Amino acid sequence: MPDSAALAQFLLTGLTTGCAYALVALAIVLMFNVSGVVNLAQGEYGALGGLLLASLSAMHLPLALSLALVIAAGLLLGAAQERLTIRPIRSAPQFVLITVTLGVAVAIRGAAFLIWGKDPLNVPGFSGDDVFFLWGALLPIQTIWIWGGTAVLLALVFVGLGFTRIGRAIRACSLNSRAARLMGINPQRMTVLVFAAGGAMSTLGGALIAPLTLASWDSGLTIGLKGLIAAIFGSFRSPGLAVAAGLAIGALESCIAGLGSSEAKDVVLYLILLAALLVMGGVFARGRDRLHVGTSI
Amino acid sequence: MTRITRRDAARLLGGVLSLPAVGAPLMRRAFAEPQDFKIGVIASMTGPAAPFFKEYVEGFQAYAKSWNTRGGVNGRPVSLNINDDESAPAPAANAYRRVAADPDTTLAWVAGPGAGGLAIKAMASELKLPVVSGGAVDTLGIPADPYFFKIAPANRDYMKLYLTWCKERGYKKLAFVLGNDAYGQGEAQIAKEMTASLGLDIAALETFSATDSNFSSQLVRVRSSAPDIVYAAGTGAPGILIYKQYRQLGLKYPLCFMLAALTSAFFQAIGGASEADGVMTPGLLGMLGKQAPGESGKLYDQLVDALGRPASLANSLGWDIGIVTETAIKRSDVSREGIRAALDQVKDLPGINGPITFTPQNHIGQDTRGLAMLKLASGKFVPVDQA
Repeated sequence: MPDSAALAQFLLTGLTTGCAYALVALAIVLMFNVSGVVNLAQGEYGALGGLLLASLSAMHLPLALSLALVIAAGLLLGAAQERLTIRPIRSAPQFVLITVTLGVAVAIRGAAFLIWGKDPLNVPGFSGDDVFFLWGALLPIQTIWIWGGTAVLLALVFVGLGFTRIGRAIRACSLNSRAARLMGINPQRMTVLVFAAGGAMSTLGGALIAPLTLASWDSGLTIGLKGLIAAIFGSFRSPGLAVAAGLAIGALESCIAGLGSSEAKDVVLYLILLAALLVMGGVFARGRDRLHVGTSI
Repeated sequence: MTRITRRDAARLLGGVLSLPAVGAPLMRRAFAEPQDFKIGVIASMTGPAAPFFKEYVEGFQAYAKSWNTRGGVNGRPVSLNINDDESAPAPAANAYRRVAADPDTTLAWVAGPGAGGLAIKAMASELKLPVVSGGAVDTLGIPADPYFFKIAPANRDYMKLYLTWCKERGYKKLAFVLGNDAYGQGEAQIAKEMTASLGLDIAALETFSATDSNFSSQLVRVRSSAPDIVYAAGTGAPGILIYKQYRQLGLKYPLCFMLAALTSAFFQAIGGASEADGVMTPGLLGMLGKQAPGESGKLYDQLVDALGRPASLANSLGWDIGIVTETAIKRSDVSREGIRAALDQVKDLPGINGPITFTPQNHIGQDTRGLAMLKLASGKFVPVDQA
């Protein structure tokens, strides 16, 4: 039986990876609620964030400016995806819209390969590459940035959705976009806004974690897949549940490898996820519901 | 009297005018220089694999230059017809088909990723143009195709050398961190088989997938098994992250990495080659350059003379392909079938990366004799005993 330090090591490093899944899951849930589209390209935004930060770091730009540029790139790309690939075919069947987002994912990944090449890029830690002890676990200093950054982003999203006019408008669109339109809300504008915010959130998440995982053109697939699973756990309606599921998936995969067998890690993880989804009674079993953020509109 | 019509005159004029066109090549063939001995080169000149395999081609070119100073093939200068496989199997197969269709080409040299080599191997017996290839994929050489030969030791040989060296050094408890892909699991299988026969123990055998970024679980398990030495195999991001997290967790056990992990991208990502000082790897003798022992060092000097500068590992592998080709051609009637048969009989022919041997059953080419345990010292590979 591993000691408590080893347990803390598995759990805390897993939670750190889970932060990236949580941010992607949150973005997927928000986008789905406003646009009705499951954005399969969301993981690629994370990869893009890491790659952009690697390039900006190599140019020796100040960290704050680099992060601001990464966020700006996510905002622009998210808005562009909505305007160029979603809005023109808004009335197309669901599966067509989802397939288009898959096409966007492939395009972003291909472009990243052409621009940055096949080799993974190093991103220096925001406060160096030192480590610290927590409950006996040895963690890189960058972990604090990841946890802190994720907490701030989540707080902004939940406060924004719960207590601001725009947040209420987004939730109104998720509930009934026609009724929201009659109330003077422009659903199209809200859709662009959510795609842009989701893009920024994922690129920032990718940039935060890149010093620990390296920046690579093909890293978006894993983050996207696990973020999508977390979003499914939130039934695409509950941002809180999706975030919790993202963190849990990160912790679970680390603990399975540490406590069980690294050989069986992926098999066990996906079997657990599959069983959990079946117990939940199917993803879309309860139909589309409003965005659950714990406050009323 | 026969009348010459306008039509007859035109025919006569046409015939006279066409004489040079028909006759010139015959005249040229009769009086010109001896025809080149053409070798079709199929290599990754573009695409992701190009940086490594372009250096292979430089080794080919240096060898051809040196060969020509010795008179080439029976007085015929050796010329290389370079075809780009774009680092992909389909263009590689097309290039081989094109080269094989040229009756003046008697042999092909291949320098590209394993998938391209395998695509060529699949057609070699059909097109019957002998191929000498580089490549780290064992299936290129076993099962042996009569027309397809490769150089460089088998993957199994790297693990064999490592485990034998561990036993000599008195390391008994071994830990492994290996990928869950075919290559990694192949290494795991070899390790399980050989440790038992050598009387060694596997203290930990951890695996990871190519998309993993958090290796602390595997490394904590390695730490808790208290091994004498750790062997890690992971190319690209996993290799880099395993190394970084190994250091972050403060693991002090001697660390050995698979050779393919120690790329320029690896060194760049960890902050320079000197940051990996102390890391060991089973490596090819060509990596030691002038320091390579015996015949390897002498052959390396010849390569440097032909290149006019220090040679890389890929240069030395290209040179070894030249060595085995020249020897086989000398022992043959210079026909495609003759060269193929002569290649099949090559035994213990000295090469920079160890003696080259082919048998009808085994076309791998080189073995553990072309390998040495190396260690990084001040950012450079040196024999582990000298470090």
